[in-house]
Amino acid sequence: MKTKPLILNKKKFEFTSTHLLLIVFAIVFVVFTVMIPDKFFTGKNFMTIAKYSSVFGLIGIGMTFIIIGGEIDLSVAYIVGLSSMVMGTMLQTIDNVVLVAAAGILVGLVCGIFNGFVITKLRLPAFVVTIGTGQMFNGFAQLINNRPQIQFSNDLFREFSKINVFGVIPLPFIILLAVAVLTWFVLKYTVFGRCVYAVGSNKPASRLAGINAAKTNAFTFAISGFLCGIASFMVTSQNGSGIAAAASGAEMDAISAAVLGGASLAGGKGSIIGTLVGVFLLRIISNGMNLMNIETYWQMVLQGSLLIAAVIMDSVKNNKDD
Amino acid sequence: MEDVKANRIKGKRFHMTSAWSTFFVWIVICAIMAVLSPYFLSVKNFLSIAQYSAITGALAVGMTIVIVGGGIDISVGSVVTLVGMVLAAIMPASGSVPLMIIAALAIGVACGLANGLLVTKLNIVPFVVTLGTMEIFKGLAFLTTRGVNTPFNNLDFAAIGRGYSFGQIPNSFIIMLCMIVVGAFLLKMTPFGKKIFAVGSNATASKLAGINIKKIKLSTYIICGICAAIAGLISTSQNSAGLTNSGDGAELNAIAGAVLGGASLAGGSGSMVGTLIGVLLLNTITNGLNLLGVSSYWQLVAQGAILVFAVIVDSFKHKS
Amino acid sequence: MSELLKLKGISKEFPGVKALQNVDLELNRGEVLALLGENGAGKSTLLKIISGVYLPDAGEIYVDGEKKNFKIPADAAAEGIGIIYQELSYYDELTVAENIFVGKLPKANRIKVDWKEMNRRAKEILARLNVQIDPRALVKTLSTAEKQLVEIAKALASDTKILIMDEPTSALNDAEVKSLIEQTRKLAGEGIGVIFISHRLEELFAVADRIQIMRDGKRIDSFSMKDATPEKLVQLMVGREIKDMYPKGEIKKGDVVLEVKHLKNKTLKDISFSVRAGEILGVFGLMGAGRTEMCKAIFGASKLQEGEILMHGKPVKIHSVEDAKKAKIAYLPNDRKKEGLILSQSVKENFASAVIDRYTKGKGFIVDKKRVDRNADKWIKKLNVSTPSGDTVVETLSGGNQQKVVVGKWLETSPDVIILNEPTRGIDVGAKVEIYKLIEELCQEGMAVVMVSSEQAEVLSLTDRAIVLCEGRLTGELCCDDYTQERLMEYAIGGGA
Repeated sequence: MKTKPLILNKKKFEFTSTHLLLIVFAIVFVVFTVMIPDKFFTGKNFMTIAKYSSVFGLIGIGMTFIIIGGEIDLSVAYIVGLSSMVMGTMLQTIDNVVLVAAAGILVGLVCGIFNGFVITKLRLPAFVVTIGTGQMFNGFAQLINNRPQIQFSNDLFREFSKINVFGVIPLPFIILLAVAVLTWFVLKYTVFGRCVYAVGSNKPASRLAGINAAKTNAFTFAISGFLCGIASFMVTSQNGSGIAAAASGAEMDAISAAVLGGASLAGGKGSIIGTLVGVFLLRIISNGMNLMNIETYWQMVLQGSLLIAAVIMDSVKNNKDD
Repeated sequence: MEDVKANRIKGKRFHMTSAWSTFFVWIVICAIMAVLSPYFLSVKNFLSIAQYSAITGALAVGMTIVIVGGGIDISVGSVVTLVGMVLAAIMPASGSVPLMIIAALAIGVACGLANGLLVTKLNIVPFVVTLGTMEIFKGLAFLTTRGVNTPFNNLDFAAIGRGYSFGQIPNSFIIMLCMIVVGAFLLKMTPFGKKIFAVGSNATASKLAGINIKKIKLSTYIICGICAAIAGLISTSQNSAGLTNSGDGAELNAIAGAVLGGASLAGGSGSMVGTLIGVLLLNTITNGLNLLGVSSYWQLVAQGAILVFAVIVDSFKHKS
Repeated sequence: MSELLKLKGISKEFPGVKALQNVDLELNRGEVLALLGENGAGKSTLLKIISGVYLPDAGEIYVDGEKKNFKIPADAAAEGIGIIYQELSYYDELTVAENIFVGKLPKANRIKVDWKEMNRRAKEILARLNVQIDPRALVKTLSTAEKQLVEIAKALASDTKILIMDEPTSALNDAEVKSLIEQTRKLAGEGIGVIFISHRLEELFAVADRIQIMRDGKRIDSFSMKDATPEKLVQLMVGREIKDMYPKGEIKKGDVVLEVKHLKNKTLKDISFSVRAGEILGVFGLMGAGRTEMCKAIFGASKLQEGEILMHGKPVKIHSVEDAKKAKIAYLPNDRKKEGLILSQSVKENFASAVIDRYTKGKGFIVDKKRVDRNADKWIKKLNVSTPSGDTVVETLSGGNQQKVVVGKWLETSPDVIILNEPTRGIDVGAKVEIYKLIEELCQEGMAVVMVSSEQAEVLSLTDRAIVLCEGRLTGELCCDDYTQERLMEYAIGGGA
């Protein structure tokens, strides 16, 4: 999607996964609008979607970095949970909101660095390692207070997620857009960003070209951890509690969104804009199903199916390229 | 550079003895526990370790076969939950134990078939496929009982997981041992097992040697599904209930058990005896932590850390 | 002329292979040095040591008279050593310009890539090479030849003092080769030292000032190109008269065993040929000609869209390798480590891997270990495989012995036709001769052999008849008086037909 303008002598119109994604997006949108117009097509509902999209969008953007670099992280939901519990606990005694938020984000960053370090230093398969570290983070999150949830009463902290800019746009959404623009710039215009693509596209060659592939991959994990920290701050503020399972299933959402948005699990491909469209699509589906009172269990089934569908699309695409 | 070299040398030693070194670690942990807890070194406690090893053991047998074939299945925990929920749902209608067993195995075959077909027909990375199906199976499990823990009362059925034979030997442990023996026979003695090793070591070469790699891979996922279903049977029987969280984190233990026992995530190596030792090691640690009154949350941390540790050991083996 | 690069006493050993033994090399400023040797002579290993990919076990490297210790490729790059690898190392998902500057993207400031500047400079470099490629195009949209040119541009992009080209012309056509040679001479004129590897002797005469010949991991000789003749070079490279190497007995040819008609798929465009019992049919072509694809299509490992395969005159349906096996076709892949062997398994397991279903007892459920052992012993003896035992892990054997394991594995299926894809790639001369003898013996026993090779000498000497492929097409069939090195090459680059 992003690299397309670069091709000068590109053939005529070619139907790509991006188009498919946009069409699906439009169809889903129209279906919900027709089926539940009074609940779905309202300003208030859009604000809700925007708010939830912010949390999953940040996690998805982090995942996009990791996937472009050719890796994966299955621990993101637990990073958010650990950070959330840390913030919830700190708020019991500390009133300084900035300090608490900073600490929460730092926790995310540290978790990301830990993942990146273990995986790249020792060259381990990321998916198993992050299953393991995810469980560790999950354990730590519940250890802090010996329970999986802790409420707090700091109003200022709760207030953050309720702020609307110009009275209509939720602040978290503004943050998401800001992060999206920044990360888009990083991926497209910075040396680091291009190195992420290079490493994901051909790791051995990158090493020969003098790119520090391990460091590049480690950085993507750190970025993802950092963004998980911010996402955790948002979701904790929304919930008014530190919750270890605050983002449960987020890894699946994030991977689905990134892959739907054109990222390839083989690495080297993906874009921020694609991921964002993917995130919105998933959120709208989830929102619409909630409004139609469909059981959450069906949503679990759908979530898993969407992940597999996204990956099937990716694999079909790759086979065609050959 | 020097570091890498040092690791390589260390790795070689691990390679020679991966199952044995796990066995050694197990003995050390037993010794430490014996000092820390007077209760640890009792027959009763060891039988209890044996009883509770059965679920992880059953899962690890299937996982070992999948891993040897070069795949992975992280949906096994959800299969355990699904089996529990479905059995709890049909229990009021009929308490027949054979029916339960057939139902469970059918679920296992279906789940394994789904995973296997997605992996082989559509050529998708196994961990993503099974990540997706993990969620799907769990969703289906919750749909069966609307996400409610469902206890039941069926003494015949409870005997599978809680009964004893030959005096004090837990039935569940006997089931697991049988599975280990069958698994070992399959892997070591049959052409099918040889092919699993071949496919896991080098799929391209295996294909060019005329092995139907898709069929082999598909079979490993079906076997893994069946093993997960048996684990579900044991778990449901031990709990006398279908519990929403009965399979949570089970995949971690299964992978860790297999890898600690010498199975390599790169495929093409692994053994059932090693897996048995790996599973016993894991359950001894859990048992020890319980005896010492360590918080269950620490046990989550330990569970994750052991998996990471197992993978690190595995990677050293391969860098040599 | 001053000395730019000097290697002294370089040795390198891999498990089972002494890749390099005490090799020296000198390269002067402004000089093009040709490095000549057969496959497996150690050229690629030597290049990888110069560029810091491998650490030598012994020996010293001097750049500009200073002793250097390359630990990683970046160390060599920092000394101005640029290399174009035989296996292309491009990035499909990045643009041409990015590929050229990868690892050293031009920056507008400390973090930002200067796309404009990068595209401009990429265009300049491409113009220097006389190629018309849009620097903004994604590399995956380019042809193989274009990708190769991008690789060359990549090496030129940095401040290169020493440029190493490992078979840079293997995928290029005549005009492109000519332009590349011109470019190389021009670069030498600018004071760059070039090490040029190619199997095409005529190219070496056109481009090189001096030549160094390697054989079996050793430096054989080095002299000025003026003193070289093709005959002398070939003799030094092979180490003996070619005639001595290839056995050539009179073999009576039987009936047609394998015949293929109009094979077509994504790569192949209408290929037909036939081979008789006791005959060796040569298949020649350059990189990307579709040789391997053709083998795999016949062997059921690759899909065919159209075409017919006949065994002993009867059409057979081959949709999978199992089908091919049943039809008594065997295939020896060109990449024995990736496709031919299961490296981590033992010799006997590899010998049994194609026939494991037959070595069973108990109604096919249990592997008959005794038969597996006996089978291994039989082939170890018959093929003279030098291995401590059948339980040895095949990875530790030398290339030649590994190749024998693959051959034995297929002979155990008792095929009627065997397709050998580069059977002597990466093995030493002694083992080569053994393989040649073996092929000859197979023919005497009445097997039909299809031998794919990229070594002209090998094809010419071992076979009486060859087909030549270019870009998936059959461009010619050669035999008798027509069967010369010149004609082979002419057809291989698409001429002739």
